[in-house]
Amino acid sequence: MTNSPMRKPRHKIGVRGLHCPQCGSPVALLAGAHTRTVACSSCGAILDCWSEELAILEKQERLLATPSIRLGKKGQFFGIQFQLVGFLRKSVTFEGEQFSWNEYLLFNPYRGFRWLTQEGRHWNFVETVPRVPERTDRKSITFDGKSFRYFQSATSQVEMVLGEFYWEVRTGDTVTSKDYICPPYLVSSEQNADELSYSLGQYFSEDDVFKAFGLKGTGVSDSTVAPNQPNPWRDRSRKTLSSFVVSAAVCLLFYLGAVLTGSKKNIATVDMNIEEGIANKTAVSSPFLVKGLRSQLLSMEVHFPMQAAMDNSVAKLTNDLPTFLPGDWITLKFMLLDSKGKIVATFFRDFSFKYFVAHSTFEKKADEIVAHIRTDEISPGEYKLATHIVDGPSTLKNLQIKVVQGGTEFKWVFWAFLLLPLPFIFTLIATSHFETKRWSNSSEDGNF
Amino acid sequence: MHTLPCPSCGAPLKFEVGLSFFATCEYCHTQSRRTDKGLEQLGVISEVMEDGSPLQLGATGQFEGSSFTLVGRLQYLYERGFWNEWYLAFADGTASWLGEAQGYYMMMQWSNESVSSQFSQLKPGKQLSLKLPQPSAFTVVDRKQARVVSGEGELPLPIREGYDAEVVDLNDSKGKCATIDFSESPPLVFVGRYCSFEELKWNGLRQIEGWLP
Repeated sequence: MTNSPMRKPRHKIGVRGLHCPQCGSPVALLAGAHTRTVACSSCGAILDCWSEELAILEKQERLLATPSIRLGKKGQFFGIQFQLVGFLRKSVTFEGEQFSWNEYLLFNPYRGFRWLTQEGRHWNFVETVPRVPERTDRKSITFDGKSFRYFQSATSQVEMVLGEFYWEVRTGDTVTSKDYICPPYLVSSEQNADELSYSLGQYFSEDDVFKAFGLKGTGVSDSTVAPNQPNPWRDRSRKTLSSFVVSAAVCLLFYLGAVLTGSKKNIATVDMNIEEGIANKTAVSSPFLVKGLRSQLLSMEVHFPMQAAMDNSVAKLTNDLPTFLPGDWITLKFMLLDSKGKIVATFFRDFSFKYFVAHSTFEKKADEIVAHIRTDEISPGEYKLATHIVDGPSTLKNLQIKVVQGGTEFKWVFWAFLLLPLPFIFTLIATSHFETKRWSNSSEDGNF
Repeated sequence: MHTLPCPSCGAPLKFEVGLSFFATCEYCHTQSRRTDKGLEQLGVISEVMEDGSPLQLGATGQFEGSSFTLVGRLQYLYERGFWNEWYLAFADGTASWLGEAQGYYMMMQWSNESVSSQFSQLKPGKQLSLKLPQPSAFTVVDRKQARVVSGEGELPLPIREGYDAEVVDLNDSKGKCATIDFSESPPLVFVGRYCSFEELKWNGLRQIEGWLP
């Protein structure tokens, strides 16, 4: 206290007639009596505002950086007007490499000071907060009800000064701070022998900062990730997840609705008796009517009749045995004929019977749906079904094919469930990639 | 409210708060003490310094539904700048202190609590529990050697110009604050909370060129 000048004139906001003792340029004091030091905007001389003649505290050799927004400009943040009064260039050296950023001091005579920090195109609006966070565990703190995770510790150094500051600032001043993040927020703590202070930063894009000052933004975003930059993919993945859930539910509802309302109706039957030789047997159904109901299915169901057991020891297990033995196979050719006998659809289908034997018993597998035709793919009218056995086992004695209308295809539900979650999976991967980039800059192992 | 003539120049000296025993004349800056025999002249106080404060005597505001008027002020200076302790009178005749520095406002009440810690022990980061008015956990955030440089208006204690005080400031996690003033023995404890500029609904503030409140 002994060296502090006690009764020297202090300058009011809007004071005129002050000049830099080094270069003679006029000096404005936008923060008035709050300003302890001012660095001349022309020559960079750091001047003591607590001295009558604005004594020179330090001559800056060269001005390393220029502010992106000129000092004196007013901007609006959270509905409050602030004037840009000071500019600092700071750096931190980490593993031999120097990283620099800028800090802007904002002032409102009724509400005091705030900061804007600028690193690349990442900005933060920062306020000193008169509240002390609570420590949750070794790696995190709780502040204003939110959990913040430790991110980094750094000792930064002032490289360059321009404009006004409420303390005595010099180049080379150092301060050690610890950062904790909860995007878009960042809590920083600084401590020295006399003071412990906490500040709360909120992430701003460059365009939003420029907009606050009534300036046009560049529209360019930074490709790097700032510690407390909100993860743009997190919101998107939330949206893609909810749209997946909604669309999947809609699909299921439609499917269930179709299953429940679409009754199946047997409209024709073809019985095939195979007397001599299996090959080149053909049978034609009696005519049946296909109504043009949209999205209904025409299904061919093949019924493999059972026959009495040949082997008594096996017959004990089951009364019915298939007409085939494991390894047998059959090829069927179906032809859908219109009323003029013209073939409108042809399809082949193979069956193999290797799965008929299970758990030392024969499982009954009488019905097999072999094909679907959507009724809206053919015109309504009268049809017949011709079935031709291309090849098959000689044990086969007869076969029944039923033509069924109605029912719903499950295939599209399957594809929907395969494709619908893709946007969500993509955004989930992008979210995690962004977080990896963020935390790659953290010194998490640092001293908490 | 009493109005008594300044014993030095005769200008009216106002006493709005029953606990105010000291008042400084706004014209001749003479400080007087109110006694049962009338006003006793104590000496001339230096004019308050330009400190950038937007507040001034006579400004009114509201706190938790009660209107108040700023009636007195102690102006402090320390290594990092100025701060003011404004004495304010509520409409019901009670009084309170409002700490003010660089846009921060702290509504404080004297607390009848004794603190056994020494100034040197209360380093930043040190935790301290205060029982009054409710038990709360505070953390030391600031300690300083401050000096009373001036004052004005009516006060419950005299302005002792050039008087040095060791002061420790504490905050909790929710916006409550406490100040321990070691200039007296035992130390004086004040407890209160931070208020935003908006919350106090000010009227009659100083005009600041180029700015509106």
